[in-house]
Parts: sequence; C-alpha cells; structure tokens
Amino acid sequence: MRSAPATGGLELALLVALTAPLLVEWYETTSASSRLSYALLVPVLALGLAWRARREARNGTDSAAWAPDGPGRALAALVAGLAGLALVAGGLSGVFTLSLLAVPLIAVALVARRTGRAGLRALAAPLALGFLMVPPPMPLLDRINPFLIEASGWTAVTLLAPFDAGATWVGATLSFRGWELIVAEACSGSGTFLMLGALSAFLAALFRLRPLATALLLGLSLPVTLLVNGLRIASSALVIDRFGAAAGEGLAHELLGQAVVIVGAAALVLAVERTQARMARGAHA
Amino acid sequence: MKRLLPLAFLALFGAIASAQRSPVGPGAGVRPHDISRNAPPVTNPEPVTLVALAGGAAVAGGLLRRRKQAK
Repeated sequence: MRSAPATGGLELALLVALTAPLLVEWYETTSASSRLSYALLVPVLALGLAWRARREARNGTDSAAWAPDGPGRALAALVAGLAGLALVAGGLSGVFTLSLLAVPLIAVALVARRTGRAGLRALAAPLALGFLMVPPPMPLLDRINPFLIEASGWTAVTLLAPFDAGATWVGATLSFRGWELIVAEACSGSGTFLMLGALSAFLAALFRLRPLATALLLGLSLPVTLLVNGLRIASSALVIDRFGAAAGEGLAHELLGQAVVIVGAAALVLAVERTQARMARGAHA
Repeated sequence: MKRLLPLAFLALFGAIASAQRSPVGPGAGVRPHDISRNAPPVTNPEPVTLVALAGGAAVAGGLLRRRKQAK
C-alpha cells in the first residue's frame, strides 16, 4: 500500500499531465493578446492569497482543522465530475474556454479532498479568484463591445464638454473643436473592463471585504472602466487639439493611453484601501 | 504627494513597458474638417492588461504591508 504523500504526488502529476495541453494553449492565447494578458497573473495572485491563508492557519489555533473529512470528499467528487463534464463538453464543442474551466474546478476538488470543509472555507477567495484565469468567451465579448464603445464615447464627450460644448460622438467618431477622431475599436475598453474586474476581485480578497462590499466593488468596475476609457479618448483629443495631428501617433501617444489605464487601476486600489481603512476604524470606534 | 509619486513612477514605467509591447495599430485617422489629406492613426491601443493588473496588485500589496507596519 502506498503512502498518502506518494499517492497525492501521483495524483497531482496525473492531473498536471491531463491539463498541460490546456495550460499551454491558455498561455499562448493570453500572452498573445494584450487584452487578455491579465489572465496570466490571476493564478499567481490566487496562489499568493492561498499562501497567506495557509500561513494564517498555521499560526492560528485551527490549523488542525485543515484535514480531509466526509463532506469535503463528497464535494470533491461532485466538483471533479463537473470538471470532467467541462473537459468533455469543451472538447466536443470546440469551446476552449469551457475546457479551460476544468482547471480551476480541479483546484477546488483537490482542496476539498485534501483539506476538508475548513480548508475550503479558508481558501474560498483564492479558489474563486482562480476562475478568472478563464477568459470570457469571445462571442460574449463581442456582445459587450458595442455597448462599451458607445458608453466610452459619451463619457469622453461629457469630459470634453467644458472645452467644447458642441463635442459629439456618432458611431465611433468623436467630433471635437473641428477635429474628427475616428476611434479604433481597441478603445472599447473590454480589456480594461476585464482587468479591472480581476483587480477588484483580488482587492476584495486581499482586504477581506464583506460579500456586499465585494459585489459593490465588482459592480464598480464597469463605471470605472468607462471613466478610464473616456479619459483615454478625451486626453488624446485634447493633446491632438493642442499639439496637432502628429501627436495622435507615436510613443508619446502610446504612453498616454497606457498610463491612463495604469493610473486608473492604481487609483481604484487607493480608493478601496482608504474606504476599507475608514470602515475598519468606524467599526472599532 | 508621497503616495502620488510612486503612482506616477509606476505609471511611467508600466506605460513604457506596455508601449514596447503594443505598437500603435492602424487607426482610421484623424483630420481637421477643412484639410483633406491622409491623417496619422489615432488609436489608443488596448492596454497591456498584465502590466496594469500587476501595477494595481503591487500598489495594493504595498499599502497593506504599510498598514501592517503602522500597526
């Protein structure tokens, strides 16, 4: 009879072998697209949160509670079945994201089987975050994009109103002070939306927000996306109006667009941290 | 101000890294109404979301670490 660590190691090796082709395709897909590259970092962030939970459990008094139990095993069997279904359904339908869903499901099953209910509860946030490594299906993004383009454009018009009350947005064209900026679809902001959603989920777990606050934060990622994207378009329009059409291309233009998104992400973090600190102080007072 | 400076540096370095990875794609163009000529592309390319998420996560980690140290 094999020892438990040996069996566990063998099990893990088999699972890695099973999911390796999926993970390779996931890496190639996400690393090739700047819009989806955020997904590469999601497992790293989830592992960081899991490491923190494990360390706290070891330092605390309930570390012994992380042990296999009956309900954990039952749940593991159920989730492993779901993972198998996702693999089969994804393989038969050719929907890669459906197959990929098996990876975070397998992680849930492993944790449930090895650590029982207590471990599952402690690792719930990182396990949930792990699901965000699966990019949304493209047909879904294609449905969201037109809305994001329209809303981003009108956000830009609103931001530009103090400079030109007659600024308008039609289709994907911004009219501003005699200029016509035909904004590429890349400006729809779907990448920013997905990234801010993942960042919000990570922040909720990191700062241990309550479920309602987590839902609110996740809901905020849409208006923040529109604001960030509107700022990108509006700032480009202002720069072009001030420095001429040549300012609409090249490295400086690129830097502006990228910096607005990065500052937007960092500002969201600051806002969440400040709000959470105030709420914590209020609760202690 | 102390908080804004790291943010500004982060944005600058992140943007440089992003810009290196995603060159400006061909946009439909920008032109004044009264000039009929080929105009340069105007497109904010989709941000390199990996860099933005890494920046946000780094700021969050830093803030949490500082809060713990303050305690």
